[in-house]
Amino acid sequence: MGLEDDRLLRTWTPRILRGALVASAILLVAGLCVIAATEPHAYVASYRALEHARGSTAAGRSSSVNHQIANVPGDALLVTGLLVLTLVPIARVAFAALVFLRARDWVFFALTSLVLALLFLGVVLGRVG
Amino acid sequence: MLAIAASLFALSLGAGFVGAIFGIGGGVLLVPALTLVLHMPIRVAIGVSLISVVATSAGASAAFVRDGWTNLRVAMALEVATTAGALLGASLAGVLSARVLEGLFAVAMVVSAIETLRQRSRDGTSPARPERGRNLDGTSPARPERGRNLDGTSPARPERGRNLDLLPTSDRLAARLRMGGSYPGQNGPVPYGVRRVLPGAALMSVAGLASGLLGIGAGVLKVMAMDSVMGLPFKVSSATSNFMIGVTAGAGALVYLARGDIATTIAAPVALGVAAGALVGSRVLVRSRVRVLRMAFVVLLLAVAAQMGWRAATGG
Repeated sequence: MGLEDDRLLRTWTPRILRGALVASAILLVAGLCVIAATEPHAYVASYRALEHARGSTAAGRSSSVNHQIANVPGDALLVTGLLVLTLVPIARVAFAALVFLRARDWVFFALTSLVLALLFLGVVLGRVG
Repeated sequence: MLAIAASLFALSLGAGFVGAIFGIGGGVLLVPALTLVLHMPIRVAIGVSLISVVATSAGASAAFVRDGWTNLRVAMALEVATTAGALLGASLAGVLSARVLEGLFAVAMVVSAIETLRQRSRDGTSPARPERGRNLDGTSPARPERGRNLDGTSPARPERGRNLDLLPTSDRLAARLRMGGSYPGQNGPVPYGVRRVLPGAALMSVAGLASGLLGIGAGVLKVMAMDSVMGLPFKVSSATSNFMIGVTAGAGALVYLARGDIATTIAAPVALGVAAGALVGSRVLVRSRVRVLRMAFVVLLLAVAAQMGWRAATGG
């Protein structure tokens, strides 16, 4: 990997990180504003349900609580914002893999590809578990 | 609603700020804050914390990468170990009881406190320690002309306050992977070497496991692996750790998200607060040595660890 590829990584990786962070922040703020303007009580009810879930045997499996806010306007924005945030690492690893591929740095292309494969395995594990 | 969202945001802002300053990701403060202060179930706190750790990393590491503090090749190579560990940890978190998780979290906080205390005497670098009078590979060192480097150039003067014996050479595997690098010093780039990649990777997999299991960035373990085991300068280790925790926590967060275990009501304001705090905290880290705050932070960690431990023991 030459200086040009290193420069590429150091220039674009922060942009990817910050870009995704800003996009996610906009979506999350918009989602919270929509909920505050339309159904603030659903937000409070969802929060209170989580507080009361502490002593439950499910030990706070939020999937059972999220449904309280699932159909509220704005929740889709929150979910999308969180999804964008979670995909940030995937985006920057994928970008690095492309740079290593361009530089014909096969060892690091293989390593970053393996990390990508593991990240996708995480989605599969979550779906199965 | 506004009061709840604002309190979550403020709490997370503080966690993100402190987390970025000490290179620990903020999760180690956020999980106790959510469970002990806001009475959230620990599994909810862990899921939310993982999301926030991703935000912390994205916010804090961007500046370090741009400014040349982050060793990208070390990070990319070791992320294989941390990601695999995180997947295992996140899967285990789904089956362990809340009290076991709380007990493990208390242990993680004590480890964080000890390591933070250990770093108190550091001043930017950690020297590699070859056998006296020998190179790292056991051979005798070549003797350059007096007052000259081996290539005949004048030797670089170490930055004030840094160790004189910091070696810019890497061992065989690290050299093959071209992991060595340089960081911005006062008088230009300061080169450093990388050693013991495999032991470092082993410790990284433990860091990944802790991250997925407890919802923390496990930055303390990552910094320990790079700084103490692999011989990277401390600030480079801290910056590289900040960069890596995003992928480590992201791996765990993907498991939680795909399982539907992320509470959106809490995660949204928390992610915003942590990201904002991390952005400010990363600037403070670059400009200061934060020695003044370190002792107060250690006391806070130990106090919260005791409370978490008590809760795990009594179920209260």
